[in-house]
Amino acid sequence: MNNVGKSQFISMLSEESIDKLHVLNKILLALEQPQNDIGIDGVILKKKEADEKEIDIKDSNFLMDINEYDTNIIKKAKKKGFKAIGVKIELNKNTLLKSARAFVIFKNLEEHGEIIKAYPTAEDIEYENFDFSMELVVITTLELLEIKKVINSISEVDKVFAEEIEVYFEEENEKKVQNKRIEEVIPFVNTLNDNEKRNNNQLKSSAQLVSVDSKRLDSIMDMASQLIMHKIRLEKISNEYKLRELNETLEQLEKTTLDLKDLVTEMGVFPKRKYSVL
Amino acid sequence: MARVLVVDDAVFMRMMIKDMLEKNGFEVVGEATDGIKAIEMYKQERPDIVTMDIIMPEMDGIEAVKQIRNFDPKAKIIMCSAIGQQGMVIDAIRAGARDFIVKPFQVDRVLEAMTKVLD
Repeated sequence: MNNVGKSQFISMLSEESIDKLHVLNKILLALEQPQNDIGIDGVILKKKEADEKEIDIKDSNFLMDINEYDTNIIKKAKKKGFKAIGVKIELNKNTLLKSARAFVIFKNLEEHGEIIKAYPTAEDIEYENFDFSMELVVITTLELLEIKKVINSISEVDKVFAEEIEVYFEEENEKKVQNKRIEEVIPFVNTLNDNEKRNNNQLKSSAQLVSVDSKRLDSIMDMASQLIMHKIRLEKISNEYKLRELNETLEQLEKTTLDLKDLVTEMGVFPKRKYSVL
Repeated sequence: MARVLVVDDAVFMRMMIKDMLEKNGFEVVGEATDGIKAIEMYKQERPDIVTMDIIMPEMDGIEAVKQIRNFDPKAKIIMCSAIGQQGMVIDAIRAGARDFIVKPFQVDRVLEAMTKVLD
């Protein structure tokens, strides 16, 4: 029993840390995209200029705003033969554990594709900051009706509206450069280090300005400090139980968190010089 | 008729859900009082669906879900949760549970979950 408790505790902590690293990495990647309205999971950076509507959602049922970044992903996906399907899901008004229910929906959809956008953001959904409806964009090989069926087979789902998202392919040329960077849509923890360095270099070398909601910067800092705390707790446990393998992994984590800390401190010290904070 | 294994450490809860299910055309083939017994009974009975409480002595529902899914990756398990257990429900879903119902149980919600998961 004691043994189980210990390993559960460790896996819980490390899972949490990994989650945090994922989110951080996403945010950092998002920061790397200059002058662009970026939406990745929880991260949506406001764009100043009104963007040209590239997407035609016939039914203006959707409240979410599909930005240039999403459009790029959708275009890429379509070229590879995937479909981009926008879904609007309404939960039963008696739903008690909304975010757990949303988790089921996300999980079931991700068995058949990739969710590239959520409105409200995944973060808000996680913290139950949403009413009873949500909108998602799914990249998938399934047909519209099959996606509908997947969602309809989930309990407490009252209504589903699904529609394929159309994208126009015209202004291809000017976006080529951006496309290249967006290629790596899915970040992983082990690439974090590299990304950071790239990010760091970019911050130093280029004078490009990025508009970032200052709250986002704050939350990066918050998360970095939480991550460091978790790391320290893990180290303590690892020392206590003399787990060599864990110790080795932790050393790598140590390095990553240190880099991260430096980066975050830098952002914290010079927010105005590096970014125009909204 | 779908065969159900009911797992809960509280007699009252098992009775409630058993009654609910039997009145609506399900066959309860077994009842287990903790995670370890649930795994044993699952292997014995091979039920179509399992209702699994989260907090139980010996082994909790989340661990039981993991082990049952290890034994049978197609196992259909519905978690029985209290309202304050959102995080644990998510962990259970991550571990492979297909759906969840929230206590106090409402017949229509229980039946919706059962039929949708069995479908």
